[in-house]
Amino acid sequence: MKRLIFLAATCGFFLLVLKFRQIVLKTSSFGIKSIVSASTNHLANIETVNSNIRSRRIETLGFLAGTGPMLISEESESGVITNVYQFPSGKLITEVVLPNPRTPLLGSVDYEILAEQDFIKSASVETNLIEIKEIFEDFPLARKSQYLYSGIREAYVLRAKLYRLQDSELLLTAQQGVVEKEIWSVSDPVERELKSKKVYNRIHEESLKNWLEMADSQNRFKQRMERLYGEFPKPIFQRLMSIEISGEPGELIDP
Amino acid sequence: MNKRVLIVVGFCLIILLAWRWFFFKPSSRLSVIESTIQPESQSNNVVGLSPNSTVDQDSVGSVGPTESNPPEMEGITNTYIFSSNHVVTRVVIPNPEFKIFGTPKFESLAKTQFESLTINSKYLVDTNLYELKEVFNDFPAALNSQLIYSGVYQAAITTCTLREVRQFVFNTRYQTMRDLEEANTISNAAERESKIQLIKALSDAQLKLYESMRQETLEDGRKNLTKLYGELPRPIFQRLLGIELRNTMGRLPYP
Repeated sequence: MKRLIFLAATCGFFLLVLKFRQIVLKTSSFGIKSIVSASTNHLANIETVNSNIRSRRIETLGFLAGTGPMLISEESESGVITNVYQFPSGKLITEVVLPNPRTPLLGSVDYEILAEQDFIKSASVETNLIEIKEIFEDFPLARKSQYLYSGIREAYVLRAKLYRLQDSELLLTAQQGVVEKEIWSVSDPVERELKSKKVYNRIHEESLKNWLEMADSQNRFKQRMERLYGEFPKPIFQRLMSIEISGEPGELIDP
Repeated sequence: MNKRVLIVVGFCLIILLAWRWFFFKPSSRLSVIESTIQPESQSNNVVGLSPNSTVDQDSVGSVGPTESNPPEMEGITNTYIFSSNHVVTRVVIPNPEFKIFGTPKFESLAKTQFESLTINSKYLVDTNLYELKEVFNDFPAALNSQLIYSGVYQAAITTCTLREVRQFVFNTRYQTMRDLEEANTISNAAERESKIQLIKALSDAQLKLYESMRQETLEDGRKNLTKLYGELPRPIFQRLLGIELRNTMGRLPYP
């Protein structure tokens, strides 16, 4: 019994330590589109920023949720996405992605028209788009819906994004030599050690961010497909994941 | 000048092939036993690469001797001819365990390997291994064959090899980019141009070789699975290719 109490107390102590370790560092902003940085002291504060949250996804890496790196992604009705990355070091990055106001929302007739035009234009170069279409045509709900091309476009964007993220990951590995050179250029051993730690922490963080982003973009795609078609079968998703995309899709913009 | 460029291209290709054969070892293939590049013309352009003749292409696993090999050597000979009339010959020998591919013995080894990476694993389990198995459970011919784990093993080899090839492609592009940056610093215009041409030609040949490896990997995987189950519907193959494993399944403990 005493042992049990001691164990429970130890666990409680560790939980408290973990909680205090979540020191909020300065947030940074980045992304393809316009980004706004928001300084926050706690994840819960994000909820007050977007009162009309449409969807929320939580991605974790590692054995236990909350102990490893985590991404909380929230999307509002207007299409604004807020990503909060939490790293094991306690560092927090908040990223706000604002959609292009000229891009229609998924599920609208305008989006479908633009997606069809984009398919016709891109399929001659990106021939695997035809294979993506074939897969969607094997999915009765998509075929019968008014939004076949919207789904194709979303899958195209997802595959391109995943390849881009994989390339970022490979780039981190490829730059290893350059990084080592940079570290060894520092003559003072203490400074070199500090620099080495700093550089490798940054690389590790970038790598974790890539992994979280990869997992999140797949789940975001599934959510969007479910919203579009009512359901999205796993076999269809798996088939789409085998399609190779070499280029980068252009933006869908209302003329 | 042309001769010099030709010699350098030839030399670089030999190094590339040697490197590829030393470091690129798909699990279903053991090693390359012969590689030759035979310059047959004075042309300095390595523009296209196409298979000239393929011997015993479908026999990964239960291979028989090929016409060009001594009787005791089992393998696949692929000969490629460049548009400049350079000939590249690759001979690949399958791993010994693939001699029993499709037998209950192989199935038992594959099952043990699968379990050592899942239920009997001391480390973090890659849940995508279960996903692979799930796809085979949706495929009646695989279910009836009693050879599900052989299929899982083959699918894992195919996807892991494809990932390796993708990494090689990335590395080649990255190295080319760096080499071109370096070449652009050469002050002598003629020398710079010649160096740029050489880098581009070599990179082009490398990328074409990797593309052929990618095609071969896909074809080997498809043929082996068809050999196992008698048929392989396209959606099933697509689903299998859409599942990415983080690590390879490793070699089977075959003596």
